[in-house]
Amino acid sequence: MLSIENLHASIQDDKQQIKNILCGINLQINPGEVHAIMGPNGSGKSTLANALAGREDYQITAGKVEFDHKDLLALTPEERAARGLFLAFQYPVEIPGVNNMYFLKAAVNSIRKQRNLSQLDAIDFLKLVKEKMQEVGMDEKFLHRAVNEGFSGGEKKRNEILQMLMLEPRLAILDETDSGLDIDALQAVAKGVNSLRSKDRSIIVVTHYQRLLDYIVPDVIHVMVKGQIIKSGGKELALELEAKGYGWLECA
Amino acid sequence: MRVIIAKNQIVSEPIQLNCDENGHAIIVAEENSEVTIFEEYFDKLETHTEIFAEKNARVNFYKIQKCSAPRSTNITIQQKQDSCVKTFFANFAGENCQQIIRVNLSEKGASCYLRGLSYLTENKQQLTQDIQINHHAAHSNSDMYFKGILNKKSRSHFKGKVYVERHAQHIRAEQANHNLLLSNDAEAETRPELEIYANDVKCSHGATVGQLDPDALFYLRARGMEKSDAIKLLTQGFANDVIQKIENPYMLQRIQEQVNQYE
Repeated sequence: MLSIENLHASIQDDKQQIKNILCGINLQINPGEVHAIMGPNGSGKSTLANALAGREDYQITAGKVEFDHKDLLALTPEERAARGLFLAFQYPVEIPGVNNMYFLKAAVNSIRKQRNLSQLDAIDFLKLVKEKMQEVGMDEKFLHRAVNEGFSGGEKKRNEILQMLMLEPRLAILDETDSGLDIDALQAVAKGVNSLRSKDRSIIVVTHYQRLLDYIVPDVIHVMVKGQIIKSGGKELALELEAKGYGWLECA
Repeated sequence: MRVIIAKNQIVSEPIQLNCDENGHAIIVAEENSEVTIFEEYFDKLETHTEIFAEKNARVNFYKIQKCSAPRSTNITIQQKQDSCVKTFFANFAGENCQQIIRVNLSEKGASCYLRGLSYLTENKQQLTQDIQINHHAAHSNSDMYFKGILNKKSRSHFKGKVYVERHAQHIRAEQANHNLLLSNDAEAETRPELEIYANDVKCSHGATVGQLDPDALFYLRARGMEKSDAIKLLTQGFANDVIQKIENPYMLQRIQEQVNQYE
């Protein structure tokens, strides 16, 4: 489904200095698999997630990424979304003046339009969104508020998962969706993600902690340090990391 | 033209002011009366509107400006005890337009809410707004909240002033002007001013000129929206924040529709 080969990416900082963040990432994700990417702060995990979704702040300097055997890097963010890539943001953006329900409906219908599907009407949309909100434990009042405005950390993350369930992506990338969540929200998020698991969908979970992986059990865990994946293994790797930290890998 | 709302009269249907020979309108809301006025001039180059709100009168005043010719508008508002005037000024076009608004809160308990949205989309469009609210009496309140959206080479100048006299204690005044630039060539100049001589007042002011938030733009695109649709939605969101303060449902809809028309 997703194949990343020797991906290099850099960013220009405030002083116009080029900073290399991804230094040769190789990753292969097959349909139905759940991969976790762990690693210390500043290792490039979020950069990888954002670069895959098409954020323009990052310069791809080398390598290639194929999504369903097609060049992903040539696509705009909206084209990537239409082909089924979804990024759950680490910091969901607040958009004052834009109603959450309007936003959700516009997102669903934009993607349907790009896929040449008919537009969902208000009634079908409402039925669907209410059902999905129940799944993630969100009160319906959040439909009538501005997108993420004044939402708590947990509410923002639930809103991300709600969007994911509405858009039914083929590849979902969760960028530290667990950060700042209490146990109830964590479980709601995990439940939403698990309900999406199927043999033709893949999920990438980016996280610092093993805790989320108790609820979303990955097939493969990768450890990323300084812009490279330095170790990959099964789910038991998470426990080892939790016990030993990242230091033993960085020195190796 | 002169519109007088008699004492204790509550006019439930809005009154539409369109045209007058000399572009001069006087609106008098007598004690305890209530009225909603829509004003829209089509062919006058200069207009002057005077609003008198007597004791405990309530006036809602909406003004839409959408012709392209240069013009100058003057609005003066005089308020007595416990009167309340709520206004919305929508400016949708115009080359070299000028809008001057003066409010005098002359007795205690008078409140005025001035809101406005200007949306300039063409190269030569230019709007100058000069607004001043004078607090002459204690316990009076004002709220000035204007937003501007500018595209292409349009220009906007905003000067908003709140003046508080020495004996006008315990007043509350808020003032804000926020501008969104949709092109690199548009220019917005904003000068919020407070001139306060009383020592027990609550006043705030703020002004910004900025562009669309790139993070918000990416967020919408990552959800499948085309770039142009995302820009449109964010711009509408910026406008909505002030439009949603419009209480009259007809005006709310009209101004919303006008905003949604822009690409």
